Amino acid sequence: MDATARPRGPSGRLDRPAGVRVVFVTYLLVIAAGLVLYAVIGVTNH
Amino acid sequence: MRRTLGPHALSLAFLAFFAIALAGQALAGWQDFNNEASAHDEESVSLGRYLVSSSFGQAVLENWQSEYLQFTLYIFATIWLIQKGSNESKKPGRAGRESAEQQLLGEHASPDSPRWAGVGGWRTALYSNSLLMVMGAIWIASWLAQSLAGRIVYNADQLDHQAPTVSWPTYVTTSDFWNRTLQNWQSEFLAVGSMVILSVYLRQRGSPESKPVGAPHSETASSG
Repeated sequence: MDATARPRGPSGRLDRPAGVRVVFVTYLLVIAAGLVLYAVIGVTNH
Repeated sequence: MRRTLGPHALSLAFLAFFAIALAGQALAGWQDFNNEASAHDEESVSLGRYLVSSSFGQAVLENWQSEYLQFTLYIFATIWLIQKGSNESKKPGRAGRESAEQQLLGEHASPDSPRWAGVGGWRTALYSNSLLMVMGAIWIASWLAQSLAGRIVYNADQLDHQAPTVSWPTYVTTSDFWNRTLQNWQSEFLAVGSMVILSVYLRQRGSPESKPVGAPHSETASSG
């Protein structure tokens, strides 16, 4: 087996770990943006 | 397109549901806010101004905090507590943090395990609790932000009624804060408990949240 081969999913297609990371980071950014925005608004008496 | 998004359909679908529901909440909340303003002979606000108001922030975050509390508590509770027959529980006898072998830690890690599962020391300890820590941190942060925004809304109402305003430490002891907090918590706890116990006797074919349709009621932790 080629040691450098990327893992394949159940269908045999190459997995796309970068795509998973994009969704993962998107969720964290949405959550962080909401928390920071309304914490700042709450602190600054908006 | 389908080949690109298909492997992420579950998380992307819920992100879309979130965006649509948030937009709907913003529009309905804006309308409601301006109706209240009109009833009090106050000026109405633009949608943009409403979106960066403490009123909208409080409404959003009081729901966020309860959802993240729900999952934080559920992740923690399912380490230690068992429900016989439930798909949401581990099997009887596996309560606790489990052995390094069961959890694929250190020398038991496989070549494709996350690197921090195998390295040992503080990195493995940290990574072993990372889901609970991050979900818990989001819960605490959103509860804190709810209280900060809630105090502004509360004080605006106090000023409208020529009543004294309150500091943040005083606000978090008010019935307003705890009413908003607990009305969300009670619904989350009931829903989670329902999932635990309903999955003993009820099934949904094809869902990993259910046991296989033909699985016996006494079988625990057998995703379908």
